[in-house]
Amino acid sequence: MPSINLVVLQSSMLALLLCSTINAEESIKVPLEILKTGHIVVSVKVNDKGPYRLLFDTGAPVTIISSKVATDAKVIKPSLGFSLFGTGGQANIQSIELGNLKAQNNSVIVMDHPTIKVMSKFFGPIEGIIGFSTYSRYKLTINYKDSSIQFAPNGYIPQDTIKAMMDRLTASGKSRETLCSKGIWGFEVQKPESDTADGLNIISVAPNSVMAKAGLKKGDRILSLNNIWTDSLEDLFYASSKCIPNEQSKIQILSNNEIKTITVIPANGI
Amino acid sequence: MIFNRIAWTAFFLALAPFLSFETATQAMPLEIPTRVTKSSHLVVRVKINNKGPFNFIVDTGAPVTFFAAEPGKSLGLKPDENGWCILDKFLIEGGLLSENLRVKLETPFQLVGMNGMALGGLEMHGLIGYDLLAKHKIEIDVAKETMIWTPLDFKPRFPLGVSGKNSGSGLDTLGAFMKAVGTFTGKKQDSPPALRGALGMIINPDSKPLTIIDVQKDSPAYKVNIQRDDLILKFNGSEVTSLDELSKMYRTTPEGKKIHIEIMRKKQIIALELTPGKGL
Repeated sequence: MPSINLVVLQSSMLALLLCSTINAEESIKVPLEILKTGHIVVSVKVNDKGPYRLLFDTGAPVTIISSKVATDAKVIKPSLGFSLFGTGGQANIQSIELGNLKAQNNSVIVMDHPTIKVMSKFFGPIEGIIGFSTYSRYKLTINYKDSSIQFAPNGYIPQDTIKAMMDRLTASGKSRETLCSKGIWGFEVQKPESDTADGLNIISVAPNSVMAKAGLKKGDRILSLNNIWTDSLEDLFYASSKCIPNEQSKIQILSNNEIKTITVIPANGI
Repeated sequence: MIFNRIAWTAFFLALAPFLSFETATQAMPLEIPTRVTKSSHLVVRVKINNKGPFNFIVDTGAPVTFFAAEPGKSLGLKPDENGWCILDKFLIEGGLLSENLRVKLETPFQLVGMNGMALGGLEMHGLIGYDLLAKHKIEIDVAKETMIWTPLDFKPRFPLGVSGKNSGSGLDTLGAFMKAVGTFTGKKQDSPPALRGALGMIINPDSKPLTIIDVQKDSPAYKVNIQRDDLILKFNGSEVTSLDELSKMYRTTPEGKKIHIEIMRKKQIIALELTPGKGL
């Protein structure tokens, strides 16, 4: 186990900023292999080598490949003293191919993951894990019933997780996040501690505001905003920080013991 | 490695014959609000037996759904001898309800690690695994902060490797991996965010200089007598050229700092000081 700790530690030391691009525009449906443990396996090519079987794991922050793949596919490693700790560390893969979709510049960790090694004994060779750093670059449709995943490039550029860890580690002081509404709604809520029910009480609605025009009034309860539960002020500010001014938002309210959903278009402003 | 051997013996003994008997009631596609944590995890919120919300990681690498021991205890849930517990209601934000959902009532090592490293910024309470995921068609687009889940008429086979007290699927080793990072960083969860209400100025985004077209009654802007047709020239000393920029400047003003706005009204420049409000 200590070797893994070292690998992680040393990977964390190396904060690489890699820009990512995906070539193909089309989407592709690839077959899934579902292991008896419920894990998903997909076949991918790495730098035109393979295909290799990798676990598809939405719970994994970073894509991991085995040292075997790293060697076969001549994965380039940064020259920062990896040999000190043996195999492992953050590396860059020129291309990861799913069907005919090619993702370039993939930041991965090279690591012979003990769990994967054990799984390989039972299910045949598995050479790593497809994690967030790779799958986030696609719009995915996972369908266990017909054993397929559809991938379509979405233009998303994932953060460098390892770098993010370092940033958090080195962040000085306590700068906390500020949640600020996008758009002007014209209402205020309150939640006394004694109020443990779902939603928030509306304590005022500004005359002529978009909320007033939508029929909301003092005493109504806001239950959700764009499907996000609004049980706390933090929830409400979070949800409203995700809204787009001048576009429709969906609000669920409790008014006169009746739950209804209304549409409100928040105004531009601050 | 001895540990692994034990785990994998358990794996083979765990031919868990039971089928899960939870039911998903809706068959329509549902939009599930999703948060991507700073640690690159997909997190959804869940109310369990009307309590919560709790944060769950959507994890195709977990064979079953886990609910951490501590919050489980706070809801008065008791695991059976193998660590299972049936939840009457498991409601995922966005409105996806599963009834009589069987979950493992234990804290998977991943979560110990996740919460230990606190890189997510959120405390995690569980994992949604294969047994629940597989009953839905799931569309994930990280760029959009929502997933779309459509219930399928599909009963997944019960996964191997999760019977008994210690899940033997090898999850434990993954957890140890995460925890190593946690030890390394030793950070606490984020403190709750600061909430900044609106100033109450409705602005025409296409105007230049930006023009106020309405002021919400009783808002901070109203209290300092900002009026319709006022032009916004400066915000905290910086010139304002677009509404996007102004919004960003407002959002990023440090906590507790007063807002200084320079407006022009009838060719007169007026400097004003405002305090962010509580309303939206």
